[in-house]
Amino acid sequence: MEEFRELVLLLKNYSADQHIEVFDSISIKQSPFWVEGVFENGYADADHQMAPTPGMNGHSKATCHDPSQSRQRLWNTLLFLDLTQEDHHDPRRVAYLCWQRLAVLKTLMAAGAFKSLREIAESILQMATAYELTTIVIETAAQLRQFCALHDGNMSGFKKYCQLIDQYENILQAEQAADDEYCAFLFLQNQASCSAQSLSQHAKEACQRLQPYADSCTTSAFVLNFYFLKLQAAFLEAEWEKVVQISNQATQLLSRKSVSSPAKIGAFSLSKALGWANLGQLDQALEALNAAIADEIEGNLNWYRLQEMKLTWLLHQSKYAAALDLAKTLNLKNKYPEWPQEQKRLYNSVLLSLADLGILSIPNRVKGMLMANCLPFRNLHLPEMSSANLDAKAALLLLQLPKWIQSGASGQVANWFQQYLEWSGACAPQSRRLETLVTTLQDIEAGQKPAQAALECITQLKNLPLDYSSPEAAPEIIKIEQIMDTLIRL
Amino acid sequence: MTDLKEFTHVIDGYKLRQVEVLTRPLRPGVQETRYKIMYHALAEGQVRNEIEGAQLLGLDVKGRPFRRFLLEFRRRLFAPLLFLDTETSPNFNTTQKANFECLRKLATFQTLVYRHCPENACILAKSIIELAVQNDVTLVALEMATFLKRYYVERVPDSEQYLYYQAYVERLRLDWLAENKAMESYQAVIAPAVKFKSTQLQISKRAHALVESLSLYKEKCNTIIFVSGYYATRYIGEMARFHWHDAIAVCDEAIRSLNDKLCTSPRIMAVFKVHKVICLTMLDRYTEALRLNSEVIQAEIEGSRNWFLYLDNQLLVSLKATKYQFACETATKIYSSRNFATMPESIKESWTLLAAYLILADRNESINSGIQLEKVLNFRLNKFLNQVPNYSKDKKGLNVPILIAQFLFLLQAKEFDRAHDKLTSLRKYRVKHFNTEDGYYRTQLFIRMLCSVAGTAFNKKLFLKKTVDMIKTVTQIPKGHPDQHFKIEIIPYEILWQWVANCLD
Repeated sequence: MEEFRELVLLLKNYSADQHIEVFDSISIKQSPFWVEGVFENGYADADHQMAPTPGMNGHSKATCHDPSQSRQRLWNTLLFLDLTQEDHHDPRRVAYLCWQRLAVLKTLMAAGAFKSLREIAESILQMATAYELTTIVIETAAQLRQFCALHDGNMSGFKKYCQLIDQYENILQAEQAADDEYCAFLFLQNQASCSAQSLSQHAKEACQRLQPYADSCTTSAFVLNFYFLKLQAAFLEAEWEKVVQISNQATQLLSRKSVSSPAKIGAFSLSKALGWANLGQLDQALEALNAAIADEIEGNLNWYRLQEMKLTWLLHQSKYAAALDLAKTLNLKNKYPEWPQEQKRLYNSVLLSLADLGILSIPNRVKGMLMANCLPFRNLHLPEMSSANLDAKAALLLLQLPKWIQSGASGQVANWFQQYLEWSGACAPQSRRLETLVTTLQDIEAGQKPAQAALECITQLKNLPLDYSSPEAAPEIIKIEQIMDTLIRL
Repeated sequence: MTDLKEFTHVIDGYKLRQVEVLTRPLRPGVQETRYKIMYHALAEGQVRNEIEGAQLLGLDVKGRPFRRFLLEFRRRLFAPLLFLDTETSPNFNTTQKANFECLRKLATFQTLVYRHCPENACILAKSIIELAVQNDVTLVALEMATFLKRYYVERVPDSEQYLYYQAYVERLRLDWLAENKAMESYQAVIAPAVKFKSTQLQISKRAHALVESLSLYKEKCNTIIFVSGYYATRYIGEMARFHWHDAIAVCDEAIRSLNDKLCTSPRIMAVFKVHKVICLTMLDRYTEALRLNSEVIQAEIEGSRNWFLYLDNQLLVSLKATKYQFACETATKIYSSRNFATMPESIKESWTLLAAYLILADRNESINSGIQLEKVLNFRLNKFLNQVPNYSKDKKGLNVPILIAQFLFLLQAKEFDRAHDKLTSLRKYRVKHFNTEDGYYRTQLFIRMLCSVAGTAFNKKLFLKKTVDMIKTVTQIPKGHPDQHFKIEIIPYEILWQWVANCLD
């Protein structure tokens, strides 16, 4: 118990308890930000409304109104959260635990508490090595090296840690080079003047510079940046087979490691999905997308975005029943955070529009649920041209096209989409598809029969496939072809 | 409020009743967790070993539940350890406080990063990076700058901020690497001296080569750790060659360099000053040595571990300088300090040895301190004579002053048989550990002189006759050259020779 006593006495001598201002279970849930963060979204349960218990940590019980004070206390609380309910092997959890312990280790070293030091350091080193946390390995090994040199006089231990540090310094160099290259690429990408061609060239050159490291360094940190750069080059040159191939390689490399974060693997699965989608293989794309969704944390914003993508792709494949099932599941997700309201309303409106068009049959009970959260999709009015939610407005207007054409207002809609193209900054392939639509609408306005114009539009769109690589800029939740098809049927 | 809301995602998933701070007092009438109960039992000294710990919890000491409990208990101690009260404690200076603050923030920061709270991580990184940079807490500054660099190119693109932090990252990476190399160099030359036999010349050569390789970074890196590691490697190299003047010059250069940095801790500065004290002592410049050592003591917090170590130095130098009165005052200061009891046994043992020499000085030279030294220094002669101290196992050569002191006490008490045993030990020690290449000429000669006492049947006249030439030779050899460990010759051998003679009839 000697090493425990050393720690306990250190805490006792320096009265740490006076300085640990954490929220207790009651006060944290009464603070204004908690109420805003949790309750404003309409979610509450009995536990969140508990009254304060007398006698709980006196000084931390008071509700904090000052955000900086609240923040400080929350940060402190974060270090005291019980962690047993999480997955012990989640690489992110291991990473922050290792960092916490490294900070403890260095604190003990600085405070001169040496008895527990070695055991803690060895356990950190073991975890950090297994989980490829390079900086932590070097720092911990340096602490152990110092311990061997100055306290033990253990030369063999000293040499062992020197070698380990040398080895990991090389790994760190590779990781830093990859990180630098990736950041430099992003920096270039953020510059308005940079063309896709020069970006692609930059990514390729960066990959060439990193290639020598790639032969010897296979840590997740390196692989991620290196393969992301490779992917970017392929994306920018629209080499979709290559996108699928690179994503496969990266996924295989990362999957072999137990230390890879599922979210990172998920990012490559998504690239693969986009690759397949752009190759016109939506079935395989959906398979890859499902893998990406499985790797995401259920309920976070990314997870919802991927689910929306899946919903769109199901609609593109005319798998309306499956799309409805998925929408139903997302609507019913009531754990915080919920499906973002704007997106929820848009997709619900799309499904309801399809029901109006007779394409999809929705049971009344479900319809009621969708109607409770939808946009005014039945009102025929041209939305205001403003940057807010422009894509959603365009998506909804696309669905209303048959009705607008039937009411003889094709020209107005054509003008709206013309303006939309100027405002939205949609990518080139997307713009060309919308330009085709605008021409079709203008032809109808000029007197061409809608069915004939729609048929011609579908023929022209065959040469202009939908670009799935920039899904955020695509208003085509239902493809233009499908809408034109409806027009023909009508 | 975006950053605060970010937390709701993280904390909402936890059973908040389990947010427990072990260090808080036990609350009457509340059923506390086993961890809190164990913490307080240990703090109050109610649990002294694992058996008592297991008993407290009603568990089998060898059973798996108790082992699991200990593992979890240790884990739960980590978080409070990040909250040491460095502000009100006199034991930590400003730089150290900044260090502790940075480490605590580093732990929080990384938790935020890996828990997907980037907005909070950004706020924290921005608030702590300057403190870390100002105080040369390079790892913390580097981690924060790396995050901010990526944040401003990936999450919230901002070219100006990105380029600003990119420059930071480049500089800090170099600093971190240089610091690591400097510390490795210092440790490489200091480690052999802790336990293993190593000729001083080898250390000197190694130090020289390491300093050469560090010079690559010298122009580019100026952090406290690098400067300390670099100059420490240099002075060890010089001291290993017994170039005391050169070592003093290196220490002076380091002190000047560190003085330029506002955030230099007095403790780091003290490392160089203390080594300068050693060099001055080896050159017999005791007055300067004592003056500098006093300066170091003044800058240290009274009662801290380092304060004791510097007083230990003062006691040793005073004895070497034969300033027994001053040595007596210093020893009294050490032994009467409130924190004396909290010092590790190994350090106390070193003081016992110095106390022994001080008492010998008192008996031979009559210090006239007006106090009962044995009582003040809590010195028990029998214990000193019979114990095999840990100190003797520690470093090559340091067993010698212990055996010499034991011999002198026994000689004074006319216990010739036991004194003879000590001489035998000394002779064996000399044969085993010292050879002609090792240096220690003064010590080797003095041991031979002492051993000759046995051959003279403890007769004063014969002893003086036999050793008169040897003591002349000893006098001609300067204390600092050839190699003499700083702590081996506590009182000059010429004086000890006189004391031996005084004890003989």
